Amino acid sequence: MAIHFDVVRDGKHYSARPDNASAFAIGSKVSYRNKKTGVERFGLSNDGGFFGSDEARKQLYVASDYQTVYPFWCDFIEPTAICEGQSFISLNTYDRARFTFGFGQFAAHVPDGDFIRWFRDMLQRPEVVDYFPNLEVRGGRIVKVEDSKIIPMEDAGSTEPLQLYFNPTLDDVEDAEVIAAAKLIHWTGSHPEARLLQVQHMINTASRLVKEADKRLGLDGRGADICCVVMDVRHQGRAGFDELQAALLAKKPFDALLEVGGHGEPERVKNLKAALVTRRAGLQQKKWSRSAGNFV
Amino acid sequence: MTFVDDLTTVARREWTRWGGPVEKIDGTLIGFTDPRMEAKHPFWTYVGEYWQSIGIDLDGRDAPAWSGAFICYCFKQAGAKKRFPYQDNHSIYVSKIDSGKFAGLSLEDPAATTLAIGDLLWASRSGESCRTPPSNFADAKTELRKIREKTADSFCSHCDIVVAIRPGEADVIGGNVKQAVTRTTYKLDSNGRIRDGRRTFVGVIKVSL
Repeated sequence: MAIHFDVVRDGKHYSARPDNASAFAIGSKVSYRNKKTGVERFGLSNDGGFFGSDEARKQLYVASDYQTVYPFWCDFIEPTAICEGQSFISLNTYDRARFTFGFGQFAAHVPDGDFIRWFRDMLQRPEVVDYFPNLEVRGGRIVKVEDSKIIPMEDAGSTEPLQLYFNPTLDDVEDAEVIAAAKLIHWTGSHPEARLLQVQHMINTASRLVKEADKRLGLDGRGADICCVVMDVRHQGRAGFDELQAALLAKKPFDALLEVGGHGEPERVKNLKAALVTRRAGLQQKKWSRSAGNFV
Repeated sequence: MTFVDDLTTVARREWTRWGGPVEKIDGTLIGFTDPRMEAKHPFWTYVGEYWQSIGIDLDGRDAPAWSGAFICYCFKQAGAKKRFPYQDNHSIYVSKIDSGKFAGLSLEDPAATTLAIGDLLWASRSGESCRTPPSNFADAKTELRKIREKTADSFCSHCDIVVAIRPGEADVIGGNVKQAVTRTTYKLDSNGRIRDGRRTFVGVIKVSL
C-alpha cells in the first residue's frame, strides 16, 4: 500500500509527513545562478549549513560498516563519499541534473548513468509499492504505468521524462519535487538493503570509472591511492584525461593529481586532500591490476 | 552423482537452452535476445514444459508467473520424485518445507547461513495483486505458519538455484528472471552469506536429498 506524503512548508524549509507519522526534514529551497548564462535556478538541498543537514548527518556512509561485504572497495570510495556530503540521503535538485541523490550524488540526467542504474534496481525491491507504485522496469527500462498505458521514462538517449517526474521545473520548488525527495529519503532511511544497494552502485560506478581511466591512462600496477584521486576527478567531472595524464607523468604524481581541477573546485580538492591524509596509507596497500579487473 | 549435482546440472542445461542470459554482479545484462524472451518461440514452449511437469495445463503463452514451475521442473528432472512439495507458488512450497515434513529440505535464515551449491535462495517480491511480502526471515516464518494454518494467503516471492560459489560471489539460476531463465551473480559477505541490495532475501532452503 503506497505511503501518502504531505508536504509541510515553513518559509524556505520543507518537510514531509508520511501516513500517521511525524514530519521529517527534506531540505531548504536554494538558488543557483549560472555564471555563464546568468539564469537563476531554484531547488532543494540538504547539504551542510541548510535545514535538514542534521538529518543528513545521521545517515552517513562509513566504510567500516561495509567491510565484510566490500572489503577494500568500501575504503576506496570513502574519500569521494566524504567530498559528496557522505550522507545516504544527500539531496540536490537545483542544477542541470534536476535531481541528484545519495552519498555518490547519483545524477538523474545521464542516460544509463549511475542514478538510472541504481533506481532501476530500487524499483525491483519489494517495498517499491510503498513508494513508487506506478513505476516499473520493463525490458530493462523504467516506465510509468497509467491505467493500462505504458509510458517510457528513459531510454539510451534521454532521461527527460524521469527528470520531469522528479522535478517538474527549475523555476521553483514544486510539491512533486518535495514528494519525490521525501519518498527516496524515507525509503533509504527505513530499509538497510536500500542503503546497501546505494553502496553497491557507488562501487559499481567507481569500478567502471577506474576501468575506463585505465584504458585511457594506463593505470595497471598503479597504487589505489593514485586510482582513488583519478576516480574522484572523473566522478565529479572536474578535468579531462589530458590533465590527468600530465599529472601522472609528474615527478610526484599523487600530489600533482590532487591539484587537477583545483582552480575550478578549490573546496572539493581541499576536502579530498583532507580525506586522504589518514586513508592514503591503507589505499597504498593495493595496486590496480588490468588482468584481474580489480585491486590486488 | 549426488542429487545436488543432478539439480544444478538440470538448471544449467535449461539456462543453456535459453541461450545463457546473464545478469552480472554490477547489474549488466548479457545474452538477452529480446526484452521478453518468454514470449518468443521456442522459449514459450520451454515454459509450457515447466507447467506441464507439475500437471498444470498451460502452454507457456499464459499470464501466470512461472518461476515456481521452473523450480519444480528442475527438482522433478533431477529425480526428487515425492521428496519435493511441487507447487507453482514459492511461498506455498516453502511453507510445506518449513513444516519439517520433507526430509532433506530445510529453511534457514539467510543472515546466518553460508550459501552452498544446490541451495535455493528465496527472496520476497512485489507485483500485481501481491499482498505485502515479509521483509525478513522472522516475518517470513510467521507468514509461512499462517499459510499452513490457512489463516493467510500466499505471498509473492522468488527462488533461484545456487549453481556456483566464489569468494564474495554466488551464481544462481532461476526462471522468469527478466522474462527468461537467467543466471544472476549476487554478492556474498566474507562469511559466504548473501548480502546483495538488489533483493530482500528472506530464506535459504538447504537441499540434502
